[in-house]
Amino acid sequence: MMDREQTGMLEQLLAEVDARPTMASYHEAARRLDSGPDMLKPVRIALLASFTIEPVVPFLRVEAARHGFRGDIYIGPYNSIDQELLWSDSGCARHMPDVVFISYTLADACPRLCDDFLSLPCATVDRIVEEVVGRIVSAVAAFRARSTAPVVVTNFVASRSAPHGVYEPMVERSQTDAIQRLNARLARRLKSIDGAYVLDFHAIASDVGRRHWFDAKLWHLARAPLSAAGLAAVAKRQAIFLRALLTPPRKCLVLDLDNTLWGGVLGEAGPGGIKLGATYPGSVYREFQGVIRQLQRRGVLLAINSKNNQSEADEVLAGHPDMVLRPEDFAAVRINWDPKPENMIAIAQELNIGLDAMVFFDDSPAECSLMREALPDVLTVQAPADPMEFSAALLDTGAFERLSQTAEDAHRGRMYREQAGRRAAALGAGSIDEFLRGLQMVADIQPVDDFAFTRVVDLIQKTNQFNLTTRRYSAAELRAILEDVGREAFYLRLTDRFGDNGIVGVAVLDYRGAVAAIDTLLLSCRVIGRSAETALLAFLVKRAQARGKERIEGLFTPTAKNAPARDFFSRHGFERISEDASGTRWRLAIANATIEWPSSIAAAAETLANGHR
Amino acid sequence: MTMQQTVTGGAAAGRAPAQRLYRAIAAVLDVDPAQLNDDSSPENVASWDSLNHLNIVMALEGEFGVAVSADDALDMGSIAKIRAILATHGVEV
Repeated sequence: MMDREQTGMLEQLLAEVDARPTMASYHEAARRLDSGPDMLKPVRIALLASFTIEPVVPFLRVEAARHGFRGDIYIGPYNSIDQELLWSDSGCARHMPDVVFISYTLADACPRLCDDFLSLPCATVDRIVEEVVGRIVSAVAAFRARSTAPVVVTNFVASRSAPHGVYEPMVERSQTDAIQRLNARLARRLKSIDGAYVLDFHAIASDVGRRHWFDAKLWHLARAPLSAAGLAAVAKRQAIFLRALLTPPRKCLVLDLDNTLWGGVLGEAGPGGIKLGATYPGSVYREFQGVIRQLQRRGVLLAINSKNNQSEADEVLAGHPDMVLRPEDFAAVRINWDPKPENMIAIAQELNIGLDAMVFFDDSPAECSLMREALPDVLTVQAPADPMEFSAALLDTGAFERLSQTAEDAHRGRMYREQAGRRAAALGAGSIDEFLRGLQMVADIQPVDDFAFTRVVDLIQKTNQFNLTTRRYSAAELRAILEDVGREAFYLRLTDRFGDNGIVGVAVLDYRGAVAAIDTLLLSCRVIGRSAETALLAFLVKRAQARGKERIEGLFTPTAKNAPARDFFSRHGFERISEDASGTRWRLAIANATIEWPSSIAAAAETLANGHR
Repeated sequence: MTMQQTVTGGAAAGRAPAQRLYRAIAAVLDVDPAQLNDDSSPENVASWDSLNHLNIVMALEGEFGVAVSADDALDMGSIAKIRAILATHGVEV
């Protein structure tokens, strides 16, 4: 938890740079950070550039602090990116960075595309594009092979002086087209390297405006191409990368209603009097709802926490013709006159997520300060006075930014609604067993393949509660496990009569010793208490027996959050053999015994074929 | 008040122009504004190196809303010279 006085000082400092985002303001703010808040999490950053990147330092330090980080920044020597990445004793390597940012200008990376583009035959342009991308990608891959630090590479900005002038967009193989293809190739090739990403310079330059982002005199005087406005925009995006790389994304957006999803107070104006519609001012709120809809489609859960008369609010949610969001879009709803922090806790419990996974967006300064005071783990965002700034205020927090997209994300909202249906069924069921059988669950357990890979890494990184060892394997580490003949990784997919829960379990089994060892076993919180862990264990025992193992062992490493997994081994008849700093060790003889597959879950045909029974 | 000053906002806008000038340069050079005077230059302020010279140019542009040319940037060899160049942009400090 952040110390309140320090948080206040940081907010003040950020408010000052936001009011005047100048070079002098950022320098002043960066200096105050030196003597200031020590609750910031240290992060080691390396900046490697083909040009003079130094002026970005105060901007990056301040923007990193906005997301809770204290940047310890190393700057590689001018225009020596390859050496810095490839030499095991380079300044970059010795800095032991947590994150590496690489930036090229087009003029530095591929001068031939800049200097005399119209002299180049198409085939030569294609070759240059492949060469440039190949050089960057191979240096990044070589660095990633010996460092766990993610690498973020900027892409290229189209020239302001397009060779064909106004006719440029009509020319099939123009310079602009070559740069677009260069950027597309770069992104595709980097995507094949775990931990490599593109930072969209092209988008930032468009956003700032290429005329304002580039400063010709600084470029010619000092090979420093970026203006102060450009530096601020780059630093903001770098800081969002830090957040997305080092902090789990928030999962749930909790919204107020009056003067947030629509204009005006429903209780006073009535359903016909609130501002929501196709024209101003209602169009502003409608557009904001559209932005929220996009977040939801990306996998962010939505919830309502509002002081209204529920029947009136329900009427608007279900019936107002201009609502973009409808009742079924909200995974949890608290419309009442209770204190909002109490509602917040209830929503967190209902959705089975932590308060640190929630964002609260409300227009009332009083409600916001109450929430910050009562539940500092919730990220509280006060809606700006002008509703046209709502979207930016929400999105600029970077709270929902993530660096992958899995099919599960897009369906998360639907899955949580199905969860609500399951909960209702639980209330109606006579006993737990009856409830579980009523769910008509089918489990499919398979070796981790390319399709499941991203989701499995995601679960390994994020699962806190039902997790025996909480080993946070990176994508590269998981890849190594899959390539190791002595280890196997499996995923569990669970469907039931309410729908597909997706991939909700992961296990890693290690056969390298005399016994089979359960390296990892975890379950997503949405299926805890449904015997899925027993299914996983039964499957693992079969696999171990198939490899001729007579015993299976496991470790339980206690953490602040994994109490739900604490009795896993004792429940399944394991004998406790030792205890040390890493936790308790358990053993089960499996030469003549097995673990019963749970009666309430059916095994998918593929799972049976894959070695179970 | 000049045109440039009317477009700058925030707390600093209320300060006297000379104070804003010294404060902006001092922020970049990481020194106390009281240590600076008209004669301050790269020769007598240790932190005024070529990189911070660039930063000073950007800081002044932001502070006073002016666009400095490359030649002007090279000529900003002391605070006195900076004041003279700003004056040609209609900023009297």
